[in-house]
Amino acid sequence: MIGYSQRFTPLQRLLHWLMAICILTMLFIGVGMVSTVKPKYLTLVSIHKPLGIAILGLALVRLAVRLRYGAPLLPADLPEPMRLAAQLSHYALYVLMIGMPLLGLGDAVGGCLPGRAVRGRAPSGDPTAERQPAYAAVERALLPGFRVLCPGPVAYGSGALPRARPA
Amino acid sequence: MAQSRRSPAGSVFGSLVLIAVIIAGGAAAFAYTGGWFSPQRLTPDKFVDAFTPPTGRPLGHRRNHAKGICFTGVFEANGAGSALSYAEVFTRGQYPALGRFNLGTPDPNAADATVRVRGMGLQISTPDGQEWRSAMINPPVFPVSTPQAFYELLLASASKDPDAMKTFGAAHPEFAPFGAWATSGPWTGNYAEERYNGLNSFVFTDSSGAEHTVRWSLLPAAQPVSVPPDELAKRGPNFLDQEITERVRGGPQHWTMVVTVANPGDPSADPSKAWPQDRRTVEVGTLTVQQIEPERDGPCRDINFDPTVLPSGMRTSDDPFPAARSSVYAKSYDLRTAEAKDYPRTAAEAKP
Repeated sequence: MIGYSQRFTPLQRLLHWLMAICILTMLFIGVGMVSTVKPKYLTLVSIHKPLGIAILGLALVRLAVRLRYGAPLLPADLPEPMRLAAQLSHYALYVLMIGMPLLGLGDAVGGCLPGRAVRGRAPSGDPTAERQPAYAAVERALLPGFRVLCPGPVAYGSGALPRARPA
Repeated sequence: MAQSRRSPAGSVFGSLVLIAVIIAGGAAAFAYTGGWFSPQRLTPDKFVDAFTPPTGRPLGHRRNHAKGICFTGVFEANGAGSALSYAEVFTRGQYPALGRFNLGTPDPNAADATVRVRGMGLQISTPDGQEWRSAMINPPVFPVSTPQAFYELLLASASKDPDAMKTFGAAHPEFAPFGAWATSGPWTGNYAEERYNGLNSFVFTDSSGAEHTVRWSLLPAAQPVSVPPDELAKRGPNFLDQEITERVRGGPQHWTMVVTVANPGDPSADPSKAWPQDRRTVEVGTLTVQQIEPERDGPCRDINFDPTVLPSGMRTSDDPFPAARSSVYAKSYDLRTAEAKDYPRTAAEAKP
């Protein structure tokens, strides 16, 4: 945290809301695509992949911007446990925002998730015997990450929205 | 928020209610999307469960068409398919092919003579980096019209109720042609004499942008010889694998790929309905199977023959099956790759 301005910069706010929309959309697509066998399955998968890459790109930009501009100080009256929770949840959010798309990318490229290749474009090859344990591990890691991420918006909404102050 | 300056207490309460409604609404929408409010919804998990054979989950294996053997070879396009699709695979030339002869059973140890449906998974690769994957079977029509009906068929055939199949047949008259084939259609004694039908329809786009709804089949060069099922039952449990291995060792085997073009109004969304015999057909090339390898260490083991992996110039149609197959195959693939230790490779170090 380098800067100590009163508010996040406009760029940071733009990134925040853009990513909020992307990540919420992604959560819905993720939970929807694994629970249907209808033709929309293919549509959802075909959005899931490029959107994941977009989130990864935005998250990296966001991280760079955050390192450059920092964040406003937390309210002085915030109790210490809440302060700790706020900081830890921020770290967790950044880990997930970057880690989840990387896992997905690993799935699609390293594992070359067959049939989930970018539409019309074939994968370069399915996971070979050597790569398969890694593929399976990535598959296994995506689900817990998803489970951690899902309550995020609810926790954020419950915690942050009531604290929001008019500009 | 100007409101808040006028009546802070009421506004704070109002804001909190609004926030609660938004969050609860969002969570409910999420739960709905995930199917928590619709237990009847057909999911890939349900399908995979329905495939579980009495012998138990085939750990490390495909959840259906669990028994199979790999092949490699070449697809030689004659150029005629370019009239239907601009996909490179139809440009005159030779393209590497990889596939899998298989049996339509979720039991990897089923005796070959006990399985009615035989299939072929096929992947053709082109220099532009694209792939055409297909999984075809030997019946002339699919048993049912919709994925939902197929799920019900799985439940009926696994049911202990002796009338389950009769009840199913009554509720699904479209099952009759498949049923007739299954009970009185001819059997052959090997994989080489089978005709493999794609059954699902797809849309091809030609270089002028015109679209053609098509189905495809692989017609064997080997002359089919009908063998009574009780005769087959006397052969060993793996006679199909042994036969194709020896046959291909003796010489490559060929199939002609034929693409059938629908007329407007033909039932493209229903693989249980054959198209009229007089529809335009185009012979697009020849598949040559040159080498057979056991699945355990073979090149087809790690391939998911997902029928929605298509080169540009081909796309899915209004047929609901390819998407359903894709979703269920992906689930099956995730399961079996995580279970590799239950189906260990034997010759990893012997590979070149």
